[in-house]
Amino acid sequence: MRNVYLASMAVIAAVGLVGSPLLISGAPLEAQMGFIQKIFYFHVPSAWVMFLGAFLCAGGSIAYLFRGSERGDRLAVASAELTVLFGVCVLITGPIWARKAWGAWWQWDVRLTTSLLLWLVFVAYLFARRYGGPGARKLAAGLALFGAADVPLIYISVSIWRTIHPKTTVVKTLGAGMRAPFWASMLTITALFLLLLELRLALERARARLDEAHLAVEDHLE
Amino acid sequence: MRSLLRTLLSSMILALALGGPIAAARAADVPPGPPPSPTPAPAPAKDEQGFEKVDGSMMKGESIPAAPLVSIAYGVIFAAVAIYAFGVARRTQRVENELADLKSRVERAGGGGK
Repeated sequence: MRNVYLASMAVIAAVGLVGSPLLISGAPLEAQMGFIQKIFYFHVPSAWVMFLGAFLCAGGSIAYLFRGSERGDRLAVASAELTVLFGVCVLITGPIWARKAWGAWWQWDVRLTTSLLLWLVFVAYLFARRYGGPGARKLAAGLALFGAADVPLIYISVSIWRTIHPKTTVVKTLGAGMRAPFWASMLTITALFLLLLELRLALERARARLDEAHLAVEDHLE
Repeated sequence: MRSLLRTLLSSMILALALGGPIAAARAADVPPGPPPSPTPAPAPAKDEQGFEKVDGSMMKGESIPAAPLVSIAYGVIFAAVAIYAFGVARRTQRVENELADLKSRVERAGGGGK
């Protein structure tokens, strides 16, 4: 079952990685922004998987904090790394788009600032786990909950505050020719995210086996 | 796990090979903006508050080419994912090697158990 899931994700990612650029290049040009709007097709899916990573990390952290679940902790650290990875993608592709569309690389706009904050919280999560010493995993799990709480704020920020960032309704109002490339990119990047998550979880499982083996050797020597 | 990684990376390379030239060709199809006028337009008159009236001559077409920016943005995502996937595969390999090494040392010592 697990192999079927992994194989289907690999097929979707592989087909999507080849097919999405073709669909994106064939999509009609947006009337106001022109060619630069094509960044939208991978900027938005990257943001979506960044949010997904933050929620998975928070879910895993809750399982670890309240039930002591090691599986939850492994899911949390793997998702946190992917949140940071796709956060980098969002925070680089966004300003590149902004440079052309707004004439500035960065604006201290609420959407942009809260997105940066989310990324920084998950960087802090990884630093806390790596350098925090004993008890760092619990501290990091707490941080993950704060990070996930930022996600709804990022989403609704464009509706509450005045902002130059496009509104969330832009996806619903996409033209007919733009919908297929957008959803193809969405599917591709989600499949890519799930594959990378599985790769990263495999690393955590291998580490857990190594720790168990070290403990078993120590027990045996005693 | 390695075959998954291989599939992923080969599709990324293929997509990059296909996507780059197509995007560049598409960018070349974009109609250029209006040519710059040979003589500079006279400066628009300012009102009493210092604001200038907007007119069409201010729109001189694209000053920053979009195609390289789109390619860079696309390349960033590709590079980030590829570097991360390689990094995780390397880290996993290191842990697997350490585990195998530990196992063989235990077996050599005649311990039997892990």
